[in-house]
Amino acid sequence: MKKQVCIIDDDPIYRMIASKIINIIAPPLTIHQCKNGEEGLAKLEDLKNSNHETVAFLDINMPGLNGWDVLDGISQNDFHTLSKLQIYMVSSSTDERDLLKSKQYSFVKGFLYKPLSKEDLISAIGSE
Amino acid sequence: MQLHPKEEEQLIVNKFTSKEEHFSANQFSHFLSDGKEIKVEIYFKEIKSNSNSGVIVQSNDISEVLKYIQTIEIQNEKLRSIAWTQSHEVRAPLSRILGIINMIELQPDDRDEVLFWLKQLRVSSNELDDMIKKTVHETLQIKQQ
Repeated sequence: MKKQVCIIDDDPIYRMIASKIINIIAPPLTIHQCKNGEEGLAKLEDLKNSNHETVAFLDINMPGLNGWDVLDGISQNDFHTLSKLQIYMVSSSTDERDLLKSKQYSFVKGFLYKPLSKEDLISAIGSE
Repeated sequence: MQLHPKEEEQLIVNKFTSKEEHFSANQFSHFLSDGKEIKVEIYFKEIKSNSNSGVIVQSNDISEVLKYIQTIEIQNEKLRSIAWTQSHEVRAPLSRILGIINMIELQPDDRDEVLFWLKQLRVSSNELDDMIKKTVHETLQIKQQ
């Protein structure tokens, strides 16, 4: 099964860094960049029916729909039942409450702290 | 004239008669002659002379001190909240700076890449600098309140 990556984050530099590292470790994956929660949710909806496995990196602190709002949207739309969707929460804050909250969502695969290292990304998407 | 609220009065009398010099909870309400209520700490000492014996009781007004403590507690709460926001906000540019350094280390020989990331390093460092200045400013404001 082909894999694709979805980066949902309001910080363009972070998106660029993550995309570049992914291109180095696992080319040629398709990478979708979404600059806010609304775009991210729409993109996931879009990818719902594709046959590709999707790994999503979701930032917590975003203006508008934040990471938690996106997770709630995913639950409401039943995307989380898709075995092809793997969601990783990403945050620059080291507040433990965020980590604990993410564990309340059974479909969240993991929690990653910024900056994402090469190793973080390899363990999340695997190297090709 | 009533000097202390009824429920406290009995407690104070008990302490006097038991001759304990230190109250475990030494903070009582005290009514002034004009009816105003203040908070006091009470100390006493038994005095004996050849002909007489008696007790010296000293009540210190601690209303002001308690008010200061309350102010300090409010300020502490504000400082805690500043610390919380800053640890969240400050870490955003900082983690970006660390990510940029990762990029430079990944491709140290690509001159254009390195120059691009150096420029980004400056942008994020300035952002971090602004945030630290903002924190200092907010902290100073609290002191003046």
